Amino acid sequence: MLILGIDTSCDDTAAAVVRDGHEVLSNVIASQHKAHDRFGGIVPVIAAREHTAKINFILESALEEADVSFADLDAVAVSHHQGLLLALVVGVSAAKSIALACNIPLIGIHHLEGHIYSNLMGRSKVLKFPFLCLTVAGGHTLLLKVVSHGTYELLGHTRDDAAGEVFDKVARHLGLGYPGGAAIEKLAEKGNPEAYNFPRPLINRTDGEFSFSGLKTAVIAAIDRDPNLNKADLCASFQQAIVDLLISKTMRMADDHQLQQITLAGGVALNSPLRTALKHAADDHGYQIFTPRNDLCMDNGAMVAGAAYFLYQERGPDPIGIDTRANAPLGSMGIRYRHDSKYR
Amino acid sequence: MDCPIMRTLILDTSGPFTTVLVATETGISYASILHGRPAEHLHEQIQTSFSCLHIEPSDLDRIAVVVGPGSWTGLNIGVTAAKTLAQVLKVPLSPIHTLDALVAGHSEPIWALMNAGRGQCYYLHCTRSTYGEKPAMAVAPLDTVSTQIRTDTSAVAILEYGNTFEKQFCGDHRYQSVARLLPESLISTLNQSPLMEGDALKVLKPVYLQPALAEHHTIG
Ligand SMILES: Nc1ncnc2c1ncn2[C@@H]1O[C@H](COP(=O)(O)OP(=O)(O)OP(=O)(O)O)[C@@H](O)[C@H]1O
Ligand SMILES: [Mg+2]
Repeated sequence: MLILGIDTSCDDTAAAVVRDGHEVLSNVIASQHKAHDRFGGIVPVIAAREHTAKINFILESALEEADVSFADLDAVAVSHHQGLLLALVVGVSAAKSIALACNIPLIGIHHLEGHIYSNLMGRSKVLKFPFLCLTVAGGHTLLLKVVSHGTYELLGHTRDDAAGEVFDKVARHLGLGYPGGAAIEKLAEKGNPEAYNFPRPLINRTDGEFSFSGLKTAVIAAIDRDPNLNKADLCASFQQAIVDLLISKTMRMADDHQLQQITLAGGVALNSPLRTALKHAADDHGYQIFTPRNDLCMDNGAMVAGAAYFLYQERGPDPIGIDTRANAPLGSMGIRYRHDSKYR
Repeated sequence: MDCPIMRTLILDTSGPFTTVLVATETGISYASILHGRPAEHLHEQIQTSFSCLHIEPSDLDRIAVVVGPGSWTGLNIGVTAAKTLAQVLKVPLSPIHTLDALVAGHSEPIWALMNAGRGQCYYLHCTRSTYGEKPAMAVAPLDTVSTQIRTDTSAVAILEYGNTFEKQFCGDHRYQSVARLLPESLISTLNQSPLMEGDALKVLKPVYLQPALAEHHTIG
């Protein structure tokens, strides 16, 4: 089954062609961060304008790279839930036109489901339900028990900022580029993770809740305090605090819920110190770790097509009038979770 | 006419109404006008038009779309829908400008206006000499334009797409607020509208209401 996946949930215009949920034939992403740079954050109307200007080129490239035509597609999938509303509607409009013109099923995907399913792509034989998923991205930090296709239980989420957002805010404060997490990871390589003792909020609580805003405030205060700051040391210490927080909660929830397979999803899953630390912790507990392919971590269309392949077998197609929502509950149990304030 | 009929799908999401039309040279064969929510309605309306007319998407020869100025989100949805339909079906796309459709069918001197926000307005000034050719839309401060309009005794009508200038033209019997572009007006602009194909079609952008964000030139 050949599925075209589209994602315009935030500031990337993305489309991809995936065969049978596993084989990524193309995965094209146009980033807009330059258009937003001078505003110091993502401006929804500009994101929407850029998507509208680029989407048809991205669709063409995705098909060309996959060496297929519109007529070869068996279905079109799109992120229609969770993200910037003004941005989502552009991808949804394109997807609906394709579904109509090609007379193929339309499959609406919750953006976070795309992130979660990036783990199952190419892995559905080894990764078995139920498993744990730590979703850490620009707008979300969640710990989920993935019970079965499309069914999730919320084990914990952030009370305030998302981990990715904190990476981005600290990076911006240091004058580093986007994505902030990648820039901080690079600088941190030469730094001492013990140079600063940053707070690790809620680390001793026994539940799966996260909080990052206290850490963010402490790091920004440290930057403002010291004109001769050693940026590498600061980045290494800050990154270490985030890694410690994520790992401790993840391992605790894996233990409590007896989940032996742990997956990582979202842009922050690219962070190699996080991957390494999680691997060590899991090895100690005898758990197995899965991380998505690098090109499936940040926003992309392939994860949407991947999720659609599995969920289509469960739920069938969606009507052409499917809605578009900035904040939508996740999965068949309709779980609600905290998201970043940028998704109004 | 001995050539086969040219069937055009026309979409308008520029205002509070979502309009879907199917037309041929002989006239309108289908019209659907719904209030609000183009994100959910538009493609349902298109699908209904196909089933009512017993046609397939591949029976379309051209797509036309109102590119603005108009509602930010409406235009993004409508223009993306139209561009993508044209791209998949490999048919040309015709952009329709809101103010061109607003003045369609008039042959006397008139002004067509639209609020561009921040005290600015889009306007089209049709005089006797501009009929037949196409006057270009411009943007200028509303105060400047309204002063010009008040002293322009030759104009017989002032048409605003929307209803934000009622106060500005209070007492001027020539002022009319227009809530939606009429099917006949949309169709009559098609003759003047270019046929876009290939990359030209893909780069087509809406004409956004906020001139600053839309990166327009400001005149006046
Ligand atoms: N190497 C890295 N280390 C840590 N964080 C990273 C790295 N690379 C990217 N990130 C972070 O990933 C985030 C972007 O991920 P993604 O595109 O999945 O998020 P989003 O789509 O903006 O938000 P969400 O999916 O939550 O709605 C950014 O916050 C960025 O800083
Ligand atoms: Mg994302």
